[in-house]
Amino acid sequence: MANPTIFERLDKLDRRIYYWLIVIVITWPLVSPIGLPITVKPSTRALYDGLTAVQEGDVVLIDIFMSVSTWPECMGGLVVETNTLLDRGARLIYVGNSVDVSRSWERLNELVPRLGLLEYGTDVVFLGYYTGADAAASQMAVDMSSIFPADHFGTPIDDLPLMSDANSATDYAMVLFTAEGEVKWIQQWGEPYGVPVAGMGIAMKGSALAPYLASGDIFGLAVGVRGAAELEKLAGMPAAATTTMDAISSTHLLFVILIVLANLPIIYNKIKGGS
Amino acid sequence: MFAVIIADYFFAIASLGSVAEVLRQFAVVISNIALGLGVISLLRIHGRNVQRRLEGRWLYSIVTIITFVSVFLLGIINTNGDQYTWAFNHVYTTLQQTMYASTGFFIVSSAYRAFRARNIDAGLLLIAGCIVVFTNAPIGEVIWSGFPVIGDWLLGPGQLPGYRVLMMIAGFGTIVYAYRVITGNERGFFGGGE
Repeated sequence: MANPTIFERLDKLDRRIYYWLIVIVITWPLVSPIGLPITVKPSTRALYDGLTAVQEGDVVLIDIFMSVSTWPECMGGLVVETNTLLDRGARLIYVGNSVDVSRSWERLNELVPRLGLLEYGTDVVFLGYYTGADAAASQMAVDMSSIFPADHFGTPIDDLPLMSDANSATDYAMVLFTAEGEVKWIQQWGEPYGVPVAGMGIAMKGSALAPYLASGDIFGLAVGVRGAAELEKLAGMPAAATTTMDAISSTHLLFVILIVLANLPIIYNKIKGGS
Repeated sequence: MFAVIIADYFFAIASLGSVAEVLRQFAVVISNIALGLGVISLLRIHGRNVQRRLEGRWLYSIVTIITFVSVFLLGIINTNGDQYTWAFNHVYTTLQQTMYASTGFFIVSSAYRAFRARNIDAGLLLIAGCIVVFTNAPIGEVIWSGFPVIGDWLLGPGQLPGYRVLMMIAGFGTIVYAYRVITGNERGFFGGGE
């Protein structure tokens, strides 16, 4: 049997080879950062500008619709959003449609220690997990206390001074979604009550969120790790997302190289006139 | 109920507000009950796997049931307790992140084996995909400044018309489906036959 050609070898490339390549191209830039420049997309800038336009005392609702697996993509952006809003003197209320929202809240507190220094119940409240998607968001718009009679820690909502100022959609200056769940806020808060909606999507959601951005239903958007890195750049607080961008670049480059290599045997066969 | 919610949303009739509010609360309660139903369904399916010693599955089903019962009991005893928190922080969190991270390997593997330009359509799709990949990674701009320009066009005007049509079709389809459920023409929703 004749030795296989280079194209036949490429066609049947052992998957362990590109698995190892992935490990190398992820690890290498993390150990030795390259520092490729990151340009800021207009949608991310619009989100950041919206955050910096918040006035002291404004109430902002933040929906943490990300599980712990989505932290690498969205936690960096959430940290910037929280820090920027706190700098502006906003009062923050966190809710979450993901079952592990309490874990994300704990992590956010680790990354933004000043959250713990605020007066809980007056400057910040964590209401916790909710179910019911659109129905819940719609009901929150008219009476927050009917969905959350108590916060995550069991404190009755009536004992939280901030909640008396923020019981319906019209009391809020802005809603920010994290990772997913944008549609319910657009449909139940943005459209009927005119509450500005914006947020962050995982990279996969970028194209799905584009129509809402183009129509003005959301005023700003940061997508994936890149969006988080852009927010970090705008806020002047480089952190995990910025560090990760080199690894994103190297893996994306490898991804395209592998696709090209995988297609070489097909191109070769077509040139040869085979199938 | 359907009419009340529609009227409340589109026309904001004050007298319907309180009725709509009660209905929305029903929906939230029902979705909470659905979580409980999910638990029952999970235990039934895995219990059956164990009972029938289903090859290649029943051992995993035992692990699922034991894990469920353990974490459930820990949660019932004290949701904010150390043991429950430990299970959440050191088992669930690590497993979730490992699972998500490993998808990177599967994506690369499937890309190498499946992303093949066997015809012109597939070729165009691949080229567009690669441009979008280079748009999202800073290295794309370093290689050629045109990548983000073309990529942003593809993500914007290039895909918006198609995506909007898709969303509208899904919206109309949902309304039709809801109408069929309400009028009893759609029974598959209840787990029945036709």
